[in-house]
Amino acid sequence: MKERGNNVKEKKPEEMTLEEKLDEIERLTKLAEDKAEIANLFAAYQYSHSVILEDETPDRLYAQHQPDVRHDWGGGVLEGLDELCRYYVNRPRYRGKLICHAIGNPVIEVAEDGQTAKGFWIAIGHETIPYPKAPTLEGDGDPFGPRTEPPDKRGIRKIIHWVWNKYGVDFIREDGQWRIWHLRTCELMRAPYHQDWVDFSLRNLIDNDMCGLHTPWQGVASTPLNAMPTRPSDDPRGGYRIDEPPLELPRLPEPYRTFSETFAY
Amino acid sequence: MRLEERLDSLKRRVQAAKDRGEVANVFATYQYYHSLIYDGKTVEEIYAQHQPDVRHDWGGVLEGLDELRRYYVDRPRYNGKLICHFLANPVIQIAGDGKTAKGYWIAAGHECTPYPERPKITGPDGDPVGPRLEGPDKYGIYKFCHWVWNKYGVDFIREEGKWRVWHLRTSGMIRTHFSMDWIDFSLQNHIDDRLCALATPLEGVPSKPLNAPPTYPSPNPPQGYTIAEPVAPEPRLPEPYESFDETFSY
Repeated sequence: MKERGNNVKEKKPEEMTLEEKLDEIERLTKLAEDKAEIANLFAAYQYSHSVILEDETPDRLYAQHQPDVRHDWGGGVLEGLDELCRYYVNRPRYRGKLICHAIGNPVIEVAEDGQTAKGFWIAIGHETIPYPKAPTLEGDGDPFGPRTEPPDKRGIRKIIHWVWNKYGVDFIREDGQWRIWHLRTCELMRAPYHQDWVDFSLRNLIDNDMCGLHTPWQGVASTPLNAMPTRPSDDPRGGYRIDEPPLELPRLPEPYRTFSETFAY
Repeated sequence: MRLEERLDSLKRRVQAAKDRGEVANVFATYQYYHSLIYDGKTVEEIYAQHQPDVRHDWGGVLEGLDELRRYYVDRPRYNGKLICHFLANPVIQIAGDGKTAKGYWIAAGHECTPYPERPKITGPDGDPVGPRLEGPDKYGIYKFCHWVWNKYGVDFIREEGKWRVWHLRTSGMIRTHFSMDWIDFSLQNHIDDRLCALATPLEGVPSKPLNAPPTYPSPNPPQGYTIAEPVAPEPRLPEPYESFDETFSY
């Protein structure tokens, strides 16, 4: 593993001119600022996701000038701004729906050229959708979620899951602002509230059929709950499996000079 | 840029980077004291000392140092009582003028209080018995044992060179008893600020009611998960700003 932090070969301070010293301080200050902005950006992404106000997410948070801007969540890939807009804009926002992925455990590496960065986080969280009747196949043909529990005594069907994820993110600087370029979401574990994830793994294949399409309570016009991806994921592995060891996915970022010398999420 | 200008600019930027770390430390320390139920320290060490509108809004508002002391000092600290609000998802903005800052966090956590007999309503403040108390378990213990996830919006202000919590907004996300999911909990109980029942101290420790009343009701929307509403986008996310009069207040 490469040494973390500054890999630039530096002159000793006594060998540096005043200008060179200032240049170095400027570089280190910019590095600290970039890391803070990137941390804020990805936390803001999770904020938008948690309040399900994602109409502006493609324009405000994702890269605008990269044709390969994408989100790969294992179950599929959304690629290109048009596809991201198709998925995020007017996403269903039902009463009682709650999504939370609170990120921690950050590892952030900014390229020495300052043009790109990579980040890794773990998120602890949960996803909740209650609805009064069983989901049905409609529209884009989203599959019925096999993990919807049978109705409770009130007739309510619930998706109420603990969900822990890992994220690997490439960031790129556009017009002076950091933007999400490639986002890889890799599920760590998922389980209904009253079931542990070992049993859940045994009961269900961990795939992307989790959230069934369902009828909005209020007749709110919306896109299907999980609009179809652009294409399948190159590596759909993810999620807790009782029959597999933990996956080293996504990879942890390491210090790098310029993007051509590192991997892409 | 002239050398002096360059140095001044760098000094401001480095200070902002340092401030970000200090602000994060201040709020993490607040949670540390809260988890130890040393909340009395919070008033003197964490909250602003010179702002008349220093406050904590959690659904009721405590405003002013005297009110914060009334609530926090000598808060009951029972055997088996445990509070944890683990901070994550930080968004921190330091004002361009370096005098204030804003922060947003999500906290994953839990709160529990076990006690040997069913709480009673006592004392002048009339704290209600929590409707969410379970019956006694096989050991005869009544338990209040909840998963609690919150969101925080915080204004910080620099006083005498130190960052202090100025306006703290605690916004509930979910609360549920350990053995119940939050949908059922929402259906069973209204989510309001009468969650924490008055408890008889285990050791006969003299204490005030578990949850003293607020200074005034919160002007903000009610808190917590409810099956009946879409999730509220609050507290608001902080965005970059130059000085406090150009931004909103938590």
